[in-house]
Amino acid sequence: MDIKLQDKTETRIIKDTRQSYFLTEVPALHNLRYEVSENTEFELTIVDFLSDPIDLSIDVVLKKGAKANIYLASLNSGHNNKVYKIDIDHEEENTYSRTTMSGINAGDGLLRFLGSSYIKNGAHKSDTRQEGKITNLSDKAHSEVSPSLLIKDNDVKASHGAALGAYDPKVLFYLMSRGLTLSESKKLITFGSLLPIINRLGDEKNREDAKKALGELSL
Amino acid sequence: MDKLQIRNLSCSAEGNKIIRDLSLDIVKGDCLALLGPNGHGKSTLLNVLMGNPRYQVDSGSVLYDDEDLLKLTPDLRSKKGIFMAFQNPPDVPGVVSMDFFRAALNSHSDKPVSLFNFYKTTTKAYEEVGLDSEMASRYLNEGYSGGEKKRNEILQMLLLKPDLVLLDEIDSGLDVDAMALIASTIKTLKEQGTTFIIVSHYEKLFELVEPNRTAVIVNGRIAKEGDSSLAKKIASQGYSFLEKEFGINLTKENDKQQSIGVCAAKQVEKK
Repeated sequence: MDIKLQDKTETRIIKDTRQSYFLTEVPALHNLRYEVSENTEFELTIVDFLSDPIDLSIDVVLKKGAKANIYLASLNSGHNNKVYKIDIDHEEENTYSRTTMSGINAGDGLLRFLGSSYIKNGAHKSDTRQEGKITNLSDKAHSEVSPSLLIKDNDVKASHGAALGAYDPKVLFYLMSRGLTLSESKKLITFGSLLPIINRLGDEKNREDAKKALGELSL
Repeated sequence: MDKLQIRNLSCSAEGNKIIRDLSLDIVKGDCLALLGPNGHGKSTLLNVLMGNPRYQVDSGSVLYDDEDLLKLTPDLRSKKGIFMAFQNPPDVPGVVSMDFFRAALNSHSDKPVSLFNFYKTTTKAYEEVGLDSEMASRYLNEGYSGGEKKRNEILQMLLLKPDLVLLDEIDSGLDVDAMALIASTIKTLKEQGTTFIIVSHYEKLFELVEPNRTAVIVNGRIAKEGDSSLAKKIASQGYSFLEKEFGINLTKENDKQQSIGVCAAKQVEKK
């Protein structure tokens, strides 16, 4: 029932199967590998509102019957480049994964969500979905969402979705028709796109800090 | 609100003229049944009154108590007391209904609504529309059935206490009990002096709500106005009597040039 966390240089065994991080500094490890053993359920939540560049690769390997739910919320409000790559390797049969990446690009930098779900030979009856969504709040923001699927076995479920763009005008009109200003409406939508992931942070202070940081965002 | 004056209003969307030189007067306490064949401009008129940026006002004016309504953004129109119940309210994932209602109520008040009053008001409104108040903690409209969405629109109407209510097919997709409940809510507000413009294709809602006026939109213009008997006549005879009795052409006008396609050309090589 263990999970192995491995960097290029070290391997650690993690007992807690629910990990969540509110990043307050660029992590020292930027190439993480989690190995989820047989019939183990694993949840990883990362919330990043840093005003620093970041390049983080996460590789999750699923053994027989293992499940993984990966959540990422990222706010890029400056000039930085932020790149995340989340790969899920379904190595054995009957594995399950959901990857949800939600981002706001409010500056003039790059926000990129990459990653793949790889269902290997022998990983039949596996089920995977990758979703990525980035809302651009600035004309100068450059964003990219590119999930991919690699399937080498039959009898599997696999899907992915990517959305990139500005605010939905129908939703903005709906909120404004109830009295909210354009700025308040945008703030509510922005808050709402990241809130479900923020609420998954294990530490209450981290949740409150993340909400405060988001609330202070000027739109 | 004392009066709404629409004068020679023309509007379009994506190059299509929808409202054409439409004029209409509404006074406080009116309950207007706004009828018309599909696609002739009923929903567009409501959306234009609420300020939907999808529609472009080409000419004409709308005065709301002598103030130019067309200059106001949707939020300011809401603060003036106008409310529109949407035909298809959008899902707003991530935005918790309770947070949204509170923001909406605060936007209509000089000082933030107290937590106690907020819970009291919303719980009562949930009861009145027959929805479980637990839904307040769910994301706005997400995963709601068609009927729940319509009840949720009426709930917001109760919370915001508007002067002028625009109902866009609020009864579509409702079962008999839900229709009766919503009609009863509308009737109560009507008796309290709220003004209504109601778009519906169903006689049943008008039977229950009892509008005092009827207006029929054909090709973006008010083709016929009358009292409640006009709505009843349309319900029993359809729109065709307008053509027979009043010579109103019901054929849809279309000013936009449309391509009817390009014929394929087969090239035969000369030998």
